Amino acid sequence: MLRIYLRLRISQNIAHYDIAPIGELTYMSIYQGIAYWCDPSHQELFLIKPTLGGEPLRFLYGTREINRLIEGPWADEAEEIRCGKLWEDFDRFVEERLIGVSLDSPYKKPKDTYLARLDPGRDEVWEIRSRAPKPGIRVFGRFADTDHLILTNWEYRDPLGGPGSKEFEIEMRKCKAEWRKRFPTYDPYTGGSVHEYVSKAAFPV
Amino acid sequence: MSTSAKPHFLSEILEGKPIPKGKLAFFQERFRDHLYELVVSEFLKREQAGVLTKAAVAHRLGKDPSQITRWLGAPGNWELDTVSDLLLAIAQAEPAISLTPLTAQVGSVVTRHTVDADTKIIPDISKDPKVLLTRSTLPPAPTFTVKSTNPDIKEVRPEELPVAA
Repeated sequence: MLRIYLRLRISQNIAHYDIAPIGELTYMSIYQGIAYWCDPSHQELFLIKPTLGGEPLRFLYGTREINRLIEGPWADEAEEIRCGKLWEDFDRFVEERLIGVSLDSPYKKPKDTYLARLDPGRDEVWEIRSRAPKPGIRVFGRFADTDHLILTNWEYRDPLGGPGSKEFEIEMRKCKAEWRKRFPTYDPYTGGSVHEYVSKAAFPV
Repeated sequence: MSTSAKPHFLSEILEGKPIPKGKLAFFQERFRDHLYELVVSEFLKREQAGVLTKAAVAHRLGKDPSQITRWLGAPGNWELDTVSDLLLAIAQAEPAISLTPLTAQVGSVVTRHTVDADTKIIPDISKDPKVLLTRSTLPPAPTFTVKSTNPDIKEVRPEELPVAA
C-alpha cells in the first residue's frame, strides 16, 4: 500500500502543490500476503499440513480447488480413492521426504520425477506429478520462496496430451492467472539450482 | 481458530468404524513410500560414497540395469519380493519391522489444513547463524514512514490541506 500526501507551499502569493515524499510506504512481504489469504476470513489459500499431524517442514499451500481434493466433496468413490493417494504425495513434500526434482529437463526428465518445472522455465510454473495409480494427476503451482510452494490448479494427466501441448499451456496460464489474482505485485520465486527451490532431501534429476 | 467441529482424520480408524476408501488409499500409498524411501536412501548413501552403482545392484540380482533404474525411480510397480531383493543387494540387510500406533497421532491432526497461531509460515532465521540473509530468507519488512529532509518544505497532513471552494 502506498499513500502519498499532497504538499502545499505558498511563496510570493502563489500556491504550489506537488507530491511530497513524506507519505507512508507500507510494504507487504509475500509471507504476509500468504497469511492474508490463509486467514479464516478469506480462505483463499490453505496450508497443507502433514496428514497425520505435526508441523510442516516444507510449506505447501493450496487454493480452494486444491483443497477440495483434500477435504472433498469428491465426484465419486474413484476420485476419493485417487485423492487418498494424492494426500500421501503432498505429505512427501511437507514432511521433507526425499524427492526428485527436475529444473531444466522438461522433456527429458525421468518418468518418476516428483516435482518438475515446466517449459518455459522463466514462467516458473511447476507441477507435482502424482503418477500412480492411474489416472495420474498433475498439480500446478509456483514457488513463493525456497520450500514454499503455492498450488493453484490441477488436472488429470490424460487430457493434458503430450509435452508442450495446448492443454498444458492452458493449465500454465490458469496457474499464472491464479497467482496474479492473489499476488499481483509479486513475481514467483526464481532460483538457480534445485536446492534453491527445495533446500533439503531433494535430488536433481 | 476453532476447528472442534471437524471430525478427526483418524476417527473412523480408531473408533472401529468402516474406514473411508480415501483413507485406506492414503495408508496404502504411505506404506509403499516408506519402503521406497528406506531402499532409495540406503542406495543413495552408498552411491554417494562411491561404493555402489545401479549396474552392480543389477548384476547381483541378475536383472537388467534399466530395471533397477525403474525400481529406484518410483515404488509404483514394487512387490514385497522386490523390497526384499533390493535391500539384500543394496544393504545386505533385512528391514526391522515394528508398528507405530496411530493413537499416538491423536490430538495433532485436527487442524490439518488451516493456519493457526502455532503455525509458523515465516521462516525463523534468528536462531540459525549459518543462514545468510538473502532474498529468500529476509524476514518481512515492517511498515515504515519516509520523511522529507528538506527544511524548506513544511509537512502538511491531508486533513490540513485547504478545501477547494
